[in-house]
Amino acid sequence: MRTELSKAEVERLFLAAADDALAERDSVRLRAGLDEDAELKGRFDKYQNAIALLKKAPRETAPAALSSVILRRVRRRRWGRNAQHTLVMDYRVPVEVIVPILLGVMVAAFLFFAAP
Amino acid sequence: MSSDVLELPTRELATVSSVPVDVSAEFPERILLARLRRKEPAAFEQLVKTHKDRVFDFCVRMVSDREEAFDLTQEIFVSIHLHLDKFRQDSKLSTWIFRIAKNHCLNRLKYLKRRGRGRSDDYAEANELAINDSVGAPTGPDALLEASRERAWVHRAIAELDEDQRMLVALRDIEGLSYEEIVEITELPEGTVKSRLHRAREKLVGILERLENQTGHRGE
Repeated sequence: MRTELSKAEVERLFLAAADDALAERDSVRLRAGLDEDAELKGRFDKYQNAIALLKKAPRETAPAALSSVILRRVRRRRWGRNAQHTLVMDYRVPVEVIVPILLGVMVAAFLFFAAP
Repeated sequence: MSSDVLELPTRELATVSSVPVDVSAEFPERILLARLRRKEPAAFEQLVKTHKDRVFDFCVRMVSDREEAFDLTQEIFVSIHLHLDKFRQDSKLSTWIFRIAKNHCLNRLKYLKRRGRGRSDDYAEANELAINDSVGAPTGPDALLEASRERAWVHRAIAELDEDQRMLVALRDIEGLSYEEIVEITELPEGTVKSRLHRAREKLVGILERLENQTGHRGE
């Protein structure tokens, strides 16, 4: 079995090594590859340092007002939906009223235009 | 697409695609979900309080602007409230929340690009200052200076990545999510996630190196 890896193959192990997810055999091959090539070792160190820097970067905390703004928007949306629904109920004119009014308007218009 | 996939000889490739769910974490989540489905306002308030910082942090990384992130986080939670019935419980609630957050962030970035509000250096620097002011300051002038510089570098370096790379770095290296969760959030194959993340990290190394050389302070 081949134990030595090419430069590209060693580089491909960087991701798994940085994630601490290398199998034992690959770990040995990576170490051997890095020991042989100082430039590659330097690159691997930089790769790991960059990830360490990301991991220790301070987290952003949301502004204190964010929760209340979200909850207000959600409440308003819920209220708005209910209010719209009830608005239709409140202002709905029954058909029994609309039909006689429309008929009356049509008769009045006919009489107005038919008059000599 | 096949050239995009990097074959990685890792133990993780052998894991199944579904997200392993921590039973201890799952139980309170189920209770919260049941309460949310009953439309309990206190349950939604709890959901907001639990997840707002992570969602806000992710949005800041994605859009590099605290004000945009503030606005985006509101929209994300309103969207969560609106679509809560559609959550099928086949993944963790946090994974589903991140998927919604990712979609909102990518849409906002597209919108900002269309409006010609790119991520210029001035724009990024102005936000960098705001971000530096907003996070906790370490004690001592040297520590303060070094931490502030590193924070600025990290922020700047992430901002220089492509949208997809930025998203992967934020999810994996900052949020610390597992590959299975990232696969569910991004809807990309695991191999693609890993190869893109590897390229993103390599690009980050280059950017950090350049920033280091520009300031010439590191290691002094």
